[in-house]
Amino acid sequence: MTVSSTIGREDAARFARVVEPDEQLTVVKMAPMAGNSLMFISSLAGAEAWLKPISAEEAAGPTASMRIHYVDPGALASWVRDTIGDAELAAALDDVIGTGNAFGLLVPEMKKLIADRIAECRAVLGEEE
Amino acid sequence: MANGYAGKILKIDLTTKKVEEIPTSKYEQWGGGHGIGSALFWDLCEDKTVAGTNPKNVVTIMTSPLSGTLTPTASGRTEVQGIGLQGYPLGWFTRSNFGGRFGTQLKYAGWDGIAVVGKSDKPVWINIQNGKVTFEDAKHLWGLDTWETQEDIWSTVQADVGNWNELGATRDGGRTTQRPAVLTIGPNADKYGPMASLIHDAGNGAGQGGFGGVFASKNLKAISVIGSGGVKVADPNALMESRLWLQQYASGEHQDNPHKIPGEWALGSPPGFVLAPFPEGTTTRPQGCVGCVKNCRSRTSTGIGNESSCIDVMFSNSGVVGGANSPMDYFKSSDLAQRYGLNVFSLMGALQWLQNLYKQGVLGPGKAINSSLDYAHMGSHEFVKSLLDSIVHQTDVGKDLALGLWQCAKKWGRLEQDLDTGILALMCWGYMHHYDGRTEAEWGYGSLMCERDINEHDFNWIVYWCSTLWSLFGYTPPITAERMAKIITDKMAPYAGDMKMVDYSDEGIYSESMAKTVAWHRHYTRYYKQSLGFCDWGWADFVNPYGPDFEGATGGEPKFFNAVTGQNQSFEEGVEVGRKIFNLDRAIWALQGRTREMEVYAGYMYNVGSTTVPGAANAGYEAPYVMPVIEDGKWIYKNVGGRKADRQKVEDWKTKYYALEGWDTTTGQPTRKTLEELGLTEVADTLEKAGKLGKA
Amino acid sequence: MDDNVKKRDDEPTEAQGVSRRQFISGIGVVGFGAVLGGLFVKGLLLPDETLAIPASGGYLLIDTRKCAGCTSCMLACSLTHHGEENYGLSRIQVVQNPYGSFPKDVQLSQCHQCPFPACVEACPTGANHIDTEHGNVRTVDVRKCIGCERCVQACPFTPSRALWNYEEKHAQKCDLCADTPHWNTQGGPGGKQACVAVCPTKAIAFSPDIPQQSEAGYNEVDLGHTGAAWNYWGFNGGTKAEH
Repeated sequence: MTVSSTIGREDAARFARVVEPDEQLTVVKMAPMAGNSLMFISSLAGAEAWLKPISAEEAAGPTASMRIHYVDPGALASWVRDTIGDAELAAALDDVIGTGNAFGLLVPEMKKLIADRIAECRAVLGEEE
Repeated sequence: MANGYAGKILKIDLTTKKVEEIPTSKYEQWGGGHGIGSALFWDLCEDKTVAGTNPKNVVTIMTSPLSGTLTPTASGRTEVQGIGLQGYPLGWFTRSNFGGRFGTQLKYAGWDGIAVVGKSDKPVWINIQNGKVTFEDAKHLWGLDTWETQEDIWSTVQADVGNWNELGATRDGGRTTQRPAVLTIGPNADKYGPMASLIHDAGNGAGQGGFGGVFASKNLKAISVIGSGGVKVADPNALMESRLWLQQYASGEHQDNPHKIPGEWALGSPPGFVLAPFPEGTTTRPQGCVGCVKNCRSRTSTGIGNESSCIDVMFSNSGVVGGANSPMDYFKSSDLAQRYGLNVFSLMGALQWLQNLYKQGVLGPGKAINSSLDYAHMGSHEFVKSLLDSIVHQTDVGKDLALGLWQCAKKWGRLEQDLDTGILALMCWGYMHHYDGRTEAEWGYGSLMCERDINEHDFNWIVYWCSTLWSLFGYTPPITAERMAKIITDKMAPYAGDMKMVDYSDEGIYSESMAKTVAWHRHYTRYYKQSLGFCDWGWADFVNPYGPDFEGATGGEPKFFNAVTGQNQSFEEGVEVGRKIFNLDRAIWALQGRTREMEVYAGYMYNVGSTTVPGAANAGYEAPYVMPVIEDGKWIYKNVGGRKADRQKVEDWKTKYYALEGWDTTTGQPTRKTLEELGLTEVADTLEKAGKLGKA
Repeated sequence: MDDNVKKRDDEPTEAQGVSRRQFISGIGVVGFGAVLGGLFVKGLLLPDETLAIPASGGYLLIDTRKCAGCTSCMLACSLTHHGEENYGLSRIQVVQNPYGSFPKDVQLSQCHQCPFPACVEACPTGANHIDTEHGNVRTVDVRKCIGCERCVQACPFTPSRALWNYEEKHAQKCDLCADTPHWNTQGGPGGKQACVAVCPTKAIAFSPDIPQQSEAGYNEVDLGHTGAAWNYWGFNGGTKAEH
């Protein structure tokens, strides 16, 4: 995680907030080739919860029962930068995306980056985990 | 003669109520299905510029020598052609096809196909029982849905299904236990013609093109056929052996150890693979068309969702938000669409378009486009039912949607702008965006060079879905991109050897190699899939996890054709017949007024990058586009999403493609040289007289 | 029962020595066969005057739940026997209702190779007989068939498993592929059956053992519909929709 270890209280509150409805990030719950449902993310916590790594068992399961929590990685990084306002986290996400790895391999890394930032915000705000 | 053909084609004149036999031998050089359909249309339709609703329009419903035989995935398919009602900017001579058992019954009744001309003075349905063909009053059927119609006709034709019934006056006419096979249109389909399909049984549909509207314009409600005869096969033992050979490539043969590799496969997918989960607790059987080895649909313990699969189920479950969108909802919606005989691709386009208009504040109660449907709950079956009802009964927005999607947009004064942004994602020719030409170029180009969304998954299963699913899951690809390219391109005779044919990089999609891909694809599908009937869900079986080192069965198609017909045709010779058929189609479109300038995508393809971010230009059920590409001299799988089509590069590519096909590069019209070398001198003469012959 | 069976004095006591014509004429004295369990059958007269009917060496079992309704079995049956694809010549019949609910949407009708074959008993010429050269399969010797269709009428099942071949003008029925001139593979109870070979879901199996004589005994067998592959593919309602 390459974000700084000190963020101010104002930044922490901004990063951890729930955004307005017209600022939500649209994501897609995919059943491969079986339809997509649109979902909306309103916060970093929502984004972290949304990212769901696929286990080996699930990958080997019947395709019709698979659910992929998809978000365009570039769109996610842009939303973090432009809407949430966290340029540092966005840059870290960009680094991961820049590896060119498959989406499924990006998910756990992006999830961890966001989780770490959320933990940091909570610590700064004095909130319990 | 033991060659798979019944020997005669049934010509039905609805105006005179007379029938005529056309000897199939005249047309056997075209194979069957589409090839014979195009040739018959050429001969029977004097004025090819008429509208689809004109009585002079000729509709062909054509089987192949493989129909009704043990040839897996080909036995059950029937091709429909004629001037359609859906196309933009005009109703092109177009095609659709459907599965099930209609083609088999037609063959067993002694007919290779049907050509319908004229218009009946009042609603009729056609009753075919072996050689006996009668015109029946359809007044009481006209307002019934497709399932009600079929049940009514079944009880009229065959009261005691399941017992031995004689079709002739005596037992010498043969007996059958079978239910009649019926092809029908929906309730009052004349009112929503461009959106109307042909339906057979519960879920077999010739969905696109507006053929339901064409039937309705002829006052033709349905065709029923039952036969007690058979089809003679040249080499029965070879057919059995070929069948057993092909079964090795299908999941049913590997129940002891089914593969568990994620991906979409042709023959290698499991049976009953309807591409949507059933409601919890529903048990099912796989269900398939006659003779199939894959059996991709299902019948359910609830009776809901029978024989529906893929887009039938997904149209109401793709990219729409809000409402209780549960499996039971979308299966109920698919049943309703089947009963109404509505084009589910157009319905998906309508749902996404309306959702966008609603979000923009343009559509709704009291808005610029006034509509009182419950747009807050678009994902629910209640909403879908209200929308479908509005189309079938011409209320609310349905009144205008019933005109057809692009026609509706034109009436609302929004056609150009909505095509430019992509909120109305009609990729080309007025057909709903299916797979993305910006990324999966051969799909887009193939559609441009034809007259509709091609709906041919040969490359798509593998180069797009397998690559993309492996990436989404972080699954180590079982084959490298290079191996994938090699397996596929080795099967693309006569172009085998050029692996760049499946290079989907930014440069690759505009290359001469991609022109070869599209040419091969047009020719292969015209013959093997649309003329002989090899199903799009089984072929091309390029890559198959059950095959030796992942090599699929493609190339084996001639085994079946030769066993049934007694011919000795090679795979490449069959592809060449496909080239001939495709050139005939191009000639028909030329006569209809086709120009090079018309062969362009809708604006959004050039203006907007491809994406799965919903709300932008189409985010139906696609997933981020990972494809095989060559980068820095190496084959890799790469996400090529975000691309726009470069207008000038597409035009340059078209020039390369026309040159490869031997067409006039200025107009895209076939030249005399090309037509004559295909044995189509008469076609060249006709084009020349009409001023539509390409210059060398 | 024994009272109804009179042994002719000159009739050999060994079953093997009994010619079919002798056997028929012998039994013919007392009518059309021996009564056994309510059915008229043709059997072998054993030395102790017990009438015994050799059971078929094979039976077709169907897992109706796996059937995909593709009718490949029907296509293979007529193809291997007659060189022609023709539902009306198929000795196995599949009928379906597209609007029906699983599992009642498909009817499978295979010959049961009845232990007490009514079709064999009904045949006046012995054309429909028990073929001792091919595992006692019940089949029609077409040379002897006079086209009376008594076998078709006698079959207790609907549709009748004995059927009329309108092209060659004789009755025929499932012979477990004992006589498939258009398939170069050994058939009969000791060999392969075309319908079994081509079924894409492996819903048909050959069994040498007499099934329980009921619909369930023949068509409600589990040939894998509770198995791992079938569960994995979701046919048993196992896949959960997450919404």
